[in-house]
Amino acid sequence: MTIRRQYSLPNCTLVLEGLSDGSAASQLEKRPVLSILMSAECYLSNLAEPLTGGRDFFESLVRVVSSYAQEFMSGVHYPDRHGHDSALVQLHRIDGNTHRLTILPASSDSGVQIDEKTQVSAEVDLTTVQLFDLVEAIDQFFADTQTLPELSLQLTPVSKRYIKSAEPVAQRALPGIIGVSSLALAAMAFFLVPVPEVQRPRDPIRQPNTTGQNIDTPNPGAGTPNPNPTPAADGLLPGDRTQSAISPASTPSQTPSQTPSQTPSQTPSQTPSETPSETSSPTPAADASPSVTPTPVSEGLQSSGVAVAITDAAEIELLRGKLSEQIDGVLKNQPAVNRELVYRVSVGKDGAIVGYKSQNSQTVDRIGDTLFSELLYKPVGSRPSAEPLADFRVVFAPGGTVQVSPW
Amino acid sequence: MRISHAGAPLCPYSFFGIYVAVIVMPLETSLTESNPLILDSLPDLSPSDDGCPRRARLQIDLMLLAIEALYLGGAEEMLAVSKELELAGIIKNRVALWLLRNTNPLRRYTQRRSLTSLEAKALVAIACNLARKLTATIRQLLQDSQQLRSRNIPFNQHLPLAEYLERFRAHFRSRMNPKRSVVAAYDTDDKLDELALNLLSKLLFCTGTAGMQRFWVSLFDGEVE
Repeated sequence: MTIRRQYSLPNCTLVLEGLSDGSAASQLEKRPVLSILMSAECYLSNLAEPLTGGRDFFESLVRVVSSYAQEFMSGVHYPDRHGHDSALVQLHRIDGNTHRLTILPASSDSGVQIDEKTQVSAEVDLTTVQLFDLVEAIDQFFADTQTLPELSLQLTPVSKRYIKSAEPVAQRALPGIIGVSSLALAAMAFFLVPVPEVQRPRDPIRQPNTTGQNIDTPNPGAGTPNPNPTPAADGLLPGDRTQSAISPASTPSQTPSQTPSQTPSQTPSQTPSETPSETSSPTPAADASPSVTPTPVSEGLQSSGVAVAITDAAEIELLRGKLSEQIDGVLKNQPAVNRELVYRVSVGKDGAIVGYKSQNSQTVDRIGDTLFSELLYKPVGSRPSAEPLADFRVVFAPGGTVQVSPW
Repeated sequence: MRISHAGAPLCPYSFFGIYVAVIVMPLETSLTESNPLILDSLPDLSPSDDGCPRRARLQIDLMLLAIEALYLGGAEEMLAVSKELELAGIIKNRVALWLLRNTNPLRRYTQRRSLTSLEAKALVAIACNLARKLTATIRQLLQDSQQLRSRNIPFNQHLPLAEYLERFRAHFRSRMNPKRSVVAAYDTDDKLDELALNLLSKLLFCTGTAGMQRFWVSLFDGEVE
């Protein structure tokens, strides 16, 4: 008994003829299962003759049309989705609304089909609506479980890998090439830019000069000399560079803030920058002397020139006693000196040592530096800048004695 | 004393047991609610857990936009359909729908969040359901456009088609972010008309027997491993 199944749509009619496999279950049902396909006919509205073929033709048709419908919906073209090259039926996109359906003659060596002779090569252009009707007829066939149940709708998205390999190599390499070449261009451009030269200030005395000129009009520009005292220490005593490298970072922080009092006489600026570099023992010097010494010494020296020195003889005598007491207290632990060392020491009214300076700069033995850096007054708050000071000459004799006398 | 001491650790357990029962039960019901049968026909294809790919979000929203352009009140109809399909658990209200559609990266008010697989399925189901209801209109418009094209007559000579295209252009321009290069590429009426007709033919394929599966699977073409 031949079974005929028809799927009709306005532009496309699919007619399948076949046999039931004759199993008892299928015989009993009202609508037996069509399991052996004899012929398939596809009537298209703009084609006078139907497209006919056997099972191979029909399988190829449903597979190709189904996958082409997916391609149409996603816009992702993947030619080898189902091995089109071997298919009897091919569908190609002509433009957005035209799709060309091509039926190739079956290869002669496959003699399985029944209707091989009637199958002719055909080509038909379908509009989108016609294509949809064809797809829908096939989908209805797929949905029909009583007709060729082994053929069903198999929809799987195209893998990412195939899409990528479908892109031409040049197109894939383009972003990389652009990236590399722009990097190269940028590198070349940077080579053309001259390397900025690091200029170390050669003459440190000039820096306070500028602040001196700024003193009349205090403005934010006064902050500019900030970093300069530091290199000045380097420039002043080239021999001590390694030691001075420890302290400079903290030096400038206080110096600019006190410049106003310093500026009237410009000479003292030589001393402040010298002190941090002179400190032979880094530990106490690093935290104490660099931050304090510069200004008080300059004040001390300037006090001898300006009228802030302590002139009262009794007071000087009292301070001298205090000073020698302090020195004696520390000197005990120190080894004796080889040569005579002369220091100029500034002392405040309360006997605090606010500054010191070696007078014989050639000496290698700098016992006094260690000594005074320990004794030096470490300010808690801020000392009044115009404090009266007394200067003393401190002489360390080789015999281990210390002589303190007014300057 | 000893009894109460022994009883003390039991109490939290029994309370805990009650709490668990109370919490789990609504969860179970909500799970069954949020997985309507209609969505079971769509396979899980999301390549990763962080939602649908960009092209899928874009495409779903554009299809819905085309439906809106097909007839007025499309947005309201979407909510009605979501109730009809028992998708109200996923798309609770108008704002939720708006937020879901704004996962389209080209939107002016695009959301940073992605679309979960379930939400995307719900939107696809709504789009296909509405498309099926509009089958006759879609077919007619496509056939007319084909005829106009073959005779070289401009689309604006045909009133229903001109209306659809004009509405689509208006929707697209008012809702998409013109700063995005993809949107900026549609700078002329012709290009937007082309897009509108392309979406219309895709909607036609959604109306078919397996339209929903086809549309859903097509969203992941080239996105899966």
